[in-house]
Amino acid sequence: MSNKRAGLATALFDDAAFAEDLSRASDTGRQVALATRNEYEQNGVPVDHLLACDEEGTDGTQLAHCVKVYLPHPDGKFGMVFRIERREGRSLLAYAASGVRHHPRDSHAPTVYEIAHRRLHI
Amino acid sequence: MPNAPLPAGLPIAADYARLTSIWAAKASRCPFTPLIGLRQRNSTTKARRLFSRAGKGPTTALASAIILGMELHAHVKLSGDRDGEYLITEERPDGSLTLVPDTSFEAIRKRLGTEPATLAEFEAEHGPVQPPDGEG
Repeated sequence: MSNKRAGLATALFDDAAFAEDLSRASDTGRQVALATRNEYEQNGVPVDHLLACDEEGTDGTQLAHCVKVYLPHPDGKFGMVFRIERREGRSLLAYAASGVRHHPRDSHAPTVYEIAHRRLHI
Repeated sequence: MPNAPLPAGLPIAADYARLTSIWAAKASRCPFTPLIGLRQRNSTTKARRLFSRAGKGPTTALASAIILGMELHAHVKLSGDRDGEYLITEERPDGSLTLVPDTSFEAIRKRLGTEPATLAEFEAEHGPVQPPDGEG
């Protein structure tokens, strides 16, 4: 649970939620998500890659105490959202969602922010 | 799908069944459950858009009922050879059930054994993260 290196945060992934997100991802999105999870679980998440999520987004999402990364870093089309959590006295990142940051205007597919919001506020 | 307001007392489950039947027909573009939990106005807009694509014209009341209906998956907790939190997505006439893992964050939190913390606590421990950029 401790930091493996300075500037890196521990990330925990829930298999069911991750699998659900992979099931609706494109081939590229799936590859990016899998590689990112592998990297984060082995080495941790670089804190300087993290952005705080909007507590109240213009899309109606509410993601207080959440952070995100853009994938591929630094400005890829995919994103991963984490909820700040605590375990054994240490703060860490718990996987909340991964997916596409922006869909075409006519798409009804959920963005990564909408997926995270849904999970957090059911 | 009628354009008239929902008749009083219409079971929400019936609306959910209609919605899922549309999704089944549009499986390749199934939106899964993106509407759950979103603010009402935003959700209603999305539901209208969804139905509009399906060649239907829902009322606000119907869209709202659908959103409510989508939140009504029965929750079950399994213990035995398989443990965990699941949702019932289908119940057949013979009584068999289709279960999917509960991926609400509450269920995730139980599986991971964590408790909520704040961004301020994280930053105190790990250093600052970049500020919100207004995207979400």
